[in-house]
Amino acid sequence: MDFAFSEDQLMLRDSTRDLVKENFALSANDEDKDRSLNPETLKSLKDLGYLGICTPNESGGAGFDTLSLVIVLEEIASYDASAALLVSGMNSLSIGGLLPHSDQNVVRDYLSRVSNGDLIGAVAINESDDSYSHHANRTRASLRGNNYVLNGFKAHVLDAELADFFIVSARTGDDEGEISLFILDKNTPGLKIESIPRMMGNNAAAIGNIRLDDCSVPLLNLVGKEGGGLASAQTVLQLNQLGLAAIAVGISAGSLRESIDYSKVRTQFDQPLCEFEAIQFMLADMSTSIDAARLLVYKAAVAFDQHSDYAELICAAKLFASETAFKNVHHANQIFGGYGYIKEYAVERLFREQLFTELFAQNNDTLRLHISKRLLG
Amino acid sequence: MELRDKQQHYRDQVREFAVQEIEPLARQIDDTGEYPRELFDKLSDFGLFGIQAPVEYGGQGLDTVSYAIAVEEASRVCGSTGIMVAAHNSLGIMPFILFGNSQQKEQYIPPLASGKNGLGSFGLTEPGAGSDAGATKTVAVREDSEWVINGNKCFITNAGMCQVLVITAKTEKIPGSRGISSFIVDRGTPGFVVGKKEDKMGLRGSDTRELAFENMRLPQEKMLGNEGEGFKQFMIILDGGRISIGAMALGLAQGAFDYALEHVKTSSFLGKPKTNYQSYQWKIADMYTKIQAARHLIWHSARLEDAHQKIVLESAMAKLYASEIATECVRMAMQIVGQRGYLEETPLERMYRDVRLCEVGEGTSEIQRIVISRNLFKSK
Repeated sequence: MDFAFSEDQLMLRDSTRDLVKENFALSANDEDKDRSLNPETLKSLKDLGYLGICTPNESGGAGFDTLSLVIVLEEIASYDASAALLVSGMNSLSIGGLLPHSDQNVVRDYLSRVSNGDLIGAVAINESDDSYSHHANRTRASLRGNNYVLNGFKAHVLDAELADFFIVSARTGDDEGEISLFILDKNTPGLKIESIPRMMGNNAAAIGNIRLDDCSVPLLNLVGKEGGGLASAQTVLQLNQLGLAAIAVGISAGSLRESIDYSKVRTQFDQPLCEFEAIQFMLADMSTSIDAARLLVYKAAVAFDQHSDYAELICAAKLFASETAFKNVHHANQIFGGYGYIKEYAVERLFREQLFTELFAQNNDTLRLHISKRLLG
Repeated sequence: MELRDKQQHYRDQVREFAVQEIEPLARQIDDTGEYPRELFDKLSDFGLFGIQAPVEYGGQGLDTVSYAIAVEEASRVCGSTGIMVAAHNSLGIMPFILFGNSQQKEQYIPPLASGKNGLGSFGLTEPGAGSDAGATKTVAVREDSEWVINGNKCFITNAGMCQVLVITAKTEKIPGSRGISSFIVDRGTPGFVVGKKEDKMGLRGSDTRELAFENMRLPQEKMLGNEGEGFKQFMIILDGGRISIGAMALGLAQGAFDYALEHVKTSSFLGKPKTNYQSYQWKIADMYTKIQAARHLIWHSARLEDAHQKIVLESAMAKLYASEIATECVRMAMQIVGQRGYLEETPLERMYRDVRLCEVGEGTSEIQRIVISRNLFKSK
């Protein structure tokens, strides 16, 4: 078992770390208030190829593996979780939704334009909080002449207000599993984005609901075969889960970094906080749990790359990394005391961002069901 | 856990008032960060600004158990209201009740117990003196018959809404927590500067500010209690304050529980009622068990206080336990409700941000553990 990164991965990690620290870190708090990514941050993500980091070179992407993606997501999320969410969402959409069907001209075109930063896409699959699976799909698509007509509702779509197009799932048959995926331009008549004014954190990932009211979509915008979208939708969800796991590790790592720095400079009872055993134990636990979560995330990413059985590992990685992240943001906020409650400090934002990783892309109790179901056969 | 008839009656009244008057405005208060004047006046009319103040000074003259009930019920529907009421009663007025001379009591308690002209506040914490509250850098120097005070305070609850506050300052140049005295500062005193409102994670309707004293001159009669007794005084004040913050945490936990219970009773998952699933049953059972245990600790401390017994150990345990289980309960409620809980459309989103303060304010959990273990090591 070799735990070393390749040279490419090391270079990618280091250059991402420098970029994020120098260019993203300062604007992350403002992004949360402004409810949109800093234009410079967005430009960097597009120009430097982060939005298509896993897309193969021949499809216009950077051609890195999924392990590289989670390394990058962790680095970005440790300073700017909303930016990491965009990178995660875009790569999930490309790799899970578009790449398997890139033999279709329309799909290939979207894939390359997403990968070179020309277009932003968003995944509109989720319909309710409790979506244990995509089977409960209430959005319908029916064939009418040379078009599909879509009606329905999609809930809590990330980057809805930023996206140029959406990958939308809809039921195309009577059977629960007959799901098809469609590419819908944001200007499609009948498609309405309902913004969600505010959520607890990650506000720059401008989330919204989408209402589909007789949306007419050309046949060519069907991704894959009619009724054959379930596997792709599942992969998109799994990659989103893996992304959230990596983002949770990043939030933990950011909490530890801030805690170490602060505990060295903050003095109470005539000594720096870091000299108190209680604080030292917190830092030790944080570091230990981060390493454990990180290894699980890496293992899940490698399993995905090697096409081995990854579904359960991804669930486990998200479950463990996100719950671990709570302990870490909690410790960090205890160390910061009253200052952690003030918006000037990064740990205030990290605390709000962490919960997102537990609740989204299926909440952790749903993941527990998936894992135990597999264990019990 | 039995309440006396009068306490139970008061609990019913506060619950009704909180649900009818405060709850409908809780989201607006959080969104705008402004406390509506009309509601503020209703709190005043209900008597929430003078819960334990003696009747002869215009207060309600209620016991500590009733006070804890009031803070819990207010916090159950609105954390910002809960902390405003808590800080005003236990930190704003209590120093006058416990340490004021008769002239000071007559002058300050009646207007504070009404609250109409502003709240009370307590200036203890400083940028360099948080957990280590004895490390006060604010200095009071005697010049002729006056004290000249210089220094800074931070995280002062209700500071922007206060008519008067009690502050601590070092009146003697000796190391450690000795040589600290308390002073009464009227709003508008020259040299008393109220800073900008802090932009906080939660409790956004509660007014938290920095204060500065720039050559602020106070006559001797503005000293509260005796010179050099400041540390001893605020340790007593904080004992009571812990009951408040514990009660506030309890209220937030109960609010999250009530929301989650209603959700479980009325929702389904994969076509079956949520009440059928053990994952929901367990969380509901755990939340309620922890909430009741916390309530026992808080009411026990309050009863000890009402019986004029020492409450250092009990109030620290109550605050520590209630604030930690409150965080757990709001988190369990979040798991029950799912990602909708993360959005502002549910009160859970607000409660999650509000409850974070409880493990930090008026002594972090770490400080409570120090207080508890120190008391246990000392006891024979």
